[in-house]
Amino acid sequence: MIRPTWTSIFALAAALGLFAHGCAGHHDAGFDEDNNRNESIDGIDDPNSTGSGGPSGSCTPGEVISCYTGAPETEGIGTCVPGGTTCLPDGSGYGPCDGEVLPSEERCATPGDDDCDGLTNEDGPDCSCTPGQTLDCYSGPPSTQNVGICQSGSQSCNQEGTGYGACVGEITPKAEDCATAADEDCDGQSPPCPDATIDLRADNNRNGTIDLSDPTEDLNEASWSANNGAVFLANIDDDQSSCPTSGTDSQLASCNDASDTSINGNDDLLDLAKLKTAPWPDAPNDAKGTLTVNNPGKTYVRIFKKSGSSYKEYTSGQAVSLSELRNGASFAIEGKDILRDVSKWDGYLTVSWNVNAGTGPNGPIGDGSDTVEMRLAPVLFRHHLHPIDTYYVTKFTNYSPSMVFRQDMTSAANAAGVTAHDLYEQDQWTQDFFETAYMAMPKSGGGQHVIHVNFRSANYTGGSLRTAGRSVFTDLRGKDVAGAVEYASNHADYMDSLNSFGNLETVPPYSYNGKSWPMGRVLRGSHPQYYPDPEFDKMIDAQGVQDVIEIDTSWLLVSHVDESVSFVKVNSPRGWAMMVNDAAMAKTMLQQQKNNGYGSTQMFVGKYWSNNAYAAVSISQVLNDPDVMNESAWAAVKIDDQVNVIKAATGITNSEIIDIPFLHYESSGYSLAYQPGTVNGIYMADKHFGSPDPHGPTINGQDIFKSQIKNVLLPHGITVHFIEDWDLYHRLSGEVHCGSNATRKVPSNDKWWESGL
Amino acid sequence: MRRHNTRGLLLSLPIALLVTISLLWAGTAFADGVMLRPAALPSADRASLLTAVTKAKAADPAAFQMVAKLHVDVIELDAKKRGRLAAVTPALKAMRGRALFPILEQLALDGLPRGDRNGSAWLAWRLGLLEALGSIRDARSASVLSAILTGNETSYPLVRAAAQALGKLGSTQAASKLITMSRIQDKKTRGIIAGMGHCRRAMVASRLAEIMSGARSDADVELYARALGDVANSWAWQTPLIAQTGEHSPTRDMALDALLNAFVSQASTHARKMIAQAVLVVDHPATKQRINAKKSGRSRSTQAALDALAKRFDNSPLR
Repeated sequence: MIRPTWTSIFALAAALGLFAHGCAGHHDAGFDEDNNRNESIDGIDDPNSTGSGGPSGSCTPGEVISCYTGAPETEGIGTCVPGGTTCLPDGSGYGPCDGEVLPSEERCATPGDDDCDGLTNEDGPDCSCTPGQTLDCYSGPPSTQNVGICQSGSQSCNQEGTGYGACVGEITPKAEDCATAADEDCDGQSPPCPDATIDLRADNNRNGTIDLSDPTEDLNEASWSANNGAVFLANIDDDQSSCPTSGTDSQLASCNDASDTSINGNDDLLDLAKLKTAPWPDAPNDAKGTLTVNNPGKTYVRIFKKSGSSYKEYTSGQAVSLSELRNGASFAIEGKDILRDVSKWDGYLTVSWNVNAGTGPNGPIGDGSDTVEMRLAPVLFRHHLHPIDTYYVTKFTNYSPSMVFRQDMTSAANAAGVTAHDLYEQDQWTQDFFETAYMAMPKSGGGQHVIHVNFRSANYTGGSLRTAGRSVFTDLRGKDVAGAVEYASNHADYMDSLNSFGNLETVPPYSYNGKSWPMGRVLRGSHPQYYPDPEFDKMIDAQGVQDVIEIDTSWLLVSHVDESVSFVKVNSPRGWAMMVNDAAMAKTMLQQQKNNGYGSTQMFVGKYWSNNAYAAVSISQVLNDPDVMNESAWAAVKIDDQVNVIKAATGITNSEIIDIPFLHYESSGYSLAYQPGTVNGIYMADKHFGSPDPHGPTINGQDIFKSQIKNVLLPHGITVHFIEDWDLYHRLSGEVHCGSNATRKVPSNDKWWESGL
Repeated sequence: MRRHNTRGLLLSLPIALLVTISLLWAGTAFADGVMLRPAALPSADRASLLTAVTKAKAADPAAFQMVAKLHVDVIELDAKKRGRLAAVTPALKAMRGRALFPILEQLALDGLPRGDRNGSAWLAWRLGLLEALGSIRDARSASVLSAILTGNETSYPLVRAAAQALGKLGSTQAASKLITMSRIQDKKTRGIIAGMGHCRRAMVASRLAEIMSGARSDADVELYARALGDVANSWAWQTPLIAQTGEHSPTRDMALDALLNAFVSQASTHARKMIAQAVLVVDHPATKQRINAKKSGRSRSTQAALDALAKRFDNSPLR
């Protein structure tokens, strides 16, 4: 485009006589060679100019009129505006046109329409675009444009036309984020994050091993249930027998394998539940892994981390090494103690493997954690459906009653195939001063890894615990055998008999009223004003598996449940029956014999009391004794109440009750078995019951009470072995059961964790 | 005018002298009994007892030795006991009548010393003596037992055992003594009531019924129901010794009525349970009939409880 100069325009205009109002004179004056103002564009600014451009001819001096010397079509367009001219003093004409703005060359450097053609910055030497004009723009690498998340933007020509504005709306490549599905770096790919392997494995599927490749090991692992969830033990045994066998009660009780911060050999290691983290070979250098356990369980457990071939104590939240993170870390966990108070801890433990994944080749890797819920194995009291492994008696050397008793026990045990363990305590009530129990967790191969737990009785009288109970620490504790004690020192002494373990039996497993007790329930004698140590019962409750059934034994001198009931295995839908003392049956049997003419036949023949008083008494004497009859009637009713409680709790029916006849007498205001109480025996195995010798009346060569118990157990395939206990136990208010104890086998298929409790 | 029989007087002099000497000896050489000082016995009773003990000791020294052995044994029995107290009673009871004077000597004349027997051993020993004495049911023990109850001993088990032993004599005197003492509210009252049920007399049943009607707590009901159950105990009444009193029906009738009255007036589950046990022990043939009679005008819950009692009676463990 030709852009004319104002000089040329003026020249042309003058030549064409376009200055109708004397502008020629102005023109002349404007080019006054004396003024030498050729550098001026048009001379109109020259104050000395004569105003040759103004109206010519006469005018009123001083008159000012509008003037414009540019092309008329430009006046008022763009930047062009008219000026003013003043009539000369002599009236000869007008002076120069002051203040007009004439068209100039269009420039994009100025904001206006310089050439007054109605267009602004449309052209000019410094213009590059047309204002408002838009173009696509993209500042990223061309290959990435419109790939992935990358896209073009747009840019608009500025109002000056000097160029385009910023590129708006474009998306250029960013670092790839593996956590999203988008292609942030616009390379046409959207790779997932590098595998930050965050996987904690416990024995969730309960097969005794940690399977990194087995999905069932992961299934619902965050929530312990009957179907899944790992178990760990209170590691309170003494695998290396390193605990002292002397010392104070508290010293004895406080020593066990969990009382130090070490793993005491391979046997000890077997008592710990294992945990493993899955290897993460590609873990970045800045990745970090920690194992944590939740409160309040954290206080009650100890964790070890495998380092090389050994385990070292590990503190929750401590980072493992990068090597362990990459290769997988191995942990082992132990409970420091059994559950004692569910208000402090319920035995459930949340263990988390937390990984700060660091930064991989493609940027940061997502952090994460994996959680498993574990449960401390409850302590379970044994029931009679589990056969005896070892039985215990207290041995009194060279004491005839003890020798006789042990001899008969041995005969029964040999028949049953169980072995004896003699205890050398000055306490003949072997049943009372300790109770056997156990804990178990899954074992490789499908069995159960068991720690036997022997409880010292909570017999605490006169400021001290029962001495013989120390044997759970001094004699019985060892490899996979623990000792434990739980008692309240402020429990009233007069109730202490209830803390003997003749007052703790276990009702075998059953289901009733829609609820199952697969491990049975503890049975204890208790009364609102006469009850066992509440701390011990709280401990039983804390296990959450064998809730206590309480029956009233307060009317008995000894007050133990084993005086009136016991349980045997039978072939029935329930699988067990309850032997119950039946005083009415005893009375009836004796009455029948009297009616048959045997009233003078004696019972307790050859038996003496400690003062050498002969114990023998005839059937008639017994039946005619108001005191024996009075107390026996009460016993019948009191035991009926006990049975009713057990019936209500278990649903057991009369057809599942085996009546065991013996009478009662009163001593010190309470009730005692008159004859050796034949229910109070030891159930050795499925087919063998060790009963006290009842020393009943022998008629036609048969002790009628021996015959009775043999006959009622025979249909169940149970052989009765009679054990002489008159001198050692009966005349001291106890029987065979009171003088014996047993550790029973834990069947591999009887797994508490499948109980749903 | 009555004349003195000189011969008789002369003959009685040596005896009186002997008694006097014996009494002096009793006051000096004899130690106390374990439950009673000899001086607490009326002098005539004390004298006759002393004489009887002396004779028995001469006639059957082994019986005294057996009691003495048990006194020694009680230390070991206590140390080895299973339960609350050592059972001393059966060993003494097995001696039957032979134990009468050895026991009375221990209780009231010259009891073997406590020595180093601890509290439970000493209690077991004294309880055993009293319970065994009661089982012998010999009227010659009445004076001693009565004196023990009148004395300063307030220990519940000992008072109970003494009351029980006295009650087992079954005499009107024994019954009256117990009834009288049951009306005195002191530390011995509950022991007296606990033991008096063994006095199976109608007058005792009547007093126990009266006592039961005033029961104010479950503990009261438990105690009184036990006593009513004892006094009317079906099996005890089947023994010839008790049956011969001839008060079978009134005693058992009153006891049953008292128990059923208490059953409907006591709302607590525990109280009713204790009463129900006693009803079963009484095992009265009219029980069902009287239970039904009690239902009239009672609340639904009480009627239901009575029905349950009747059902339980039908299945009584005594039959």
